[in-house]
Amino acid sequence: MTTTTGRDRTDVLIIGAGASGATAAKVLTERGCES
Amino acid sequence: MRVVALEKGPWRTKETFGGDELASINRYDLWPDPLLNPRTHRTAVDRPATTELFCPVPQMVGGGTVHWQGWLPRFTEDDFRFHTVVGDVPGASLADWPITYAELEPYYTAVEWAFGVSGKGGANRYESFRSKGYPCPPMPMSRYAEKYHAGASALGWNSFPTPQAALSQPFDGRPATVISAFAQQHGDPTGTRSSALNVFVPQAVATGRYDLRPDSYVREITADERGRAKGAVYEDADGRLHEQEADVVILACGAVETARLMLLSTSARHPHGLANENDLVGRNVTFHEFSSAVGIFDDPIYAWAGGGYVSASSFEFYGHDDSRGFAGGGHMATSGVGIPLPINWSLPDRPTWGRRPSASTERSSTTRWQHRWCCTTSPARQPRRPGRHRRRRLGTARCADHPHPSRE
Repeated sequence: MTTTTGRDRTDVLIIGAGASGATAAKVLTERGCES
Repeated sequence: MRVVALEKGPWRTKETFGGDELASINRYDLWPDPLLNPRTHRTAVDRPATTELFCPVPQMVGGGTVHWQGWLPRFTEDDFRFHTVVGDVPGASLADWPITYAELEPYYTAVEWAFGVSGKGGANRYESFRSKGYPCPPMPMSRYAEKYHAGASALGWNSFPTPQAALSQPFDGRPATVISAFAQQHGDPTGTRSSALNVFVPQAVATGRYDLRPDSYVREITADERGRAKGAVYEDADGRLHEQEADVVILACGAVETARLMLLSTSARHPHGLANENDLVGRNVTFHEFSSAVGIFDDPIYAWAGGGYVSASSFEFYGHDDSRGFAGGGHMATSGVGIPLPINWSLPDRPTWGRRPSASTERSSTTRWQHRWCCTTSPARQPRRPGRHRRRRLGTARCADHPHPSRE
């Protein structure tokens, strides 16, 4: 399997939406972050 | 800010959860099916590997908080400076944490207030300082918690209501948590338990800045020419590959899967896996482990009530004590005897067929409690590079115990 059908870019990518991933998502979407 | 999240599992709704014990415990409705997402395990490095349900945690939106009952006692100051407290232990790779309890304390408080944790600040004599009490009073006491407090008091031990990620009263626009006999190890059909699925995910979605993509299986973290993570290649539910790039990449897949993904992500700058120049990725993993004892009482304690886990705890033997001859201690707590079918049927001399198991299970869950000893230190296990993932031909996690000589 080598075909990549799409490419996208975002500010933050979180792998996982469990306890730590969802916590990071809540904080980042509500407060943002300093780059 | 735009946040994209890739989750390998599904995004389930509360309507898909319930009290089906066989589905939840025996048929991998929540936990990963070892045939589809295998992990191998060795009890020692030189022992044969077995494919098993190692460290069963739901792999879906909400993760482990989908099946948890939500005990949330804090670590203590000494947990963060364990090497300083215990000293060198031959044969162990003991180290202090790079952060202190004081640095983490505001975040403990933030999570407790975001979840609406029910507890009683100051009730645990051995707890380290806290800047704020709990947002909700303790959950209603179960009969076995009453027994536990009475027993601890008779022995002169401090005990306290176990802090719980559940609402004892309405909080922050949410109703009080429905106390169900089918809580721990089951999903929550009421949507009232405090969890990442019920609280943090909806809050992030409500901002309009959270693009959560379930059923998205990450195969590799990609790196730029400097060796810094720049994105991920993942497979969607239809088997199509995508590449998602980002300014910041956060790995939040749990101890085993995060290490596995890093080891699978090789490149010219990271020939042995992402950020693995020191060969430490996947090593020295520790889990919370527990042992338990079951007590049988003459009078009913209704162990099924409270989901088995609305509980009482003690830190009386939590801290390290050189005179005990081993490092560290543990959190003692009580719970119901567990989920009737899968667990009670595994106890010795239990009938397994016909009407007798039903009567036996009713009797057992009414008169038994379970005393649990949760250790904060445990033998290291190391996920290592694998065999092959059966569906996607990716590496599976190979986990091997390294028991310390003092345990043998």
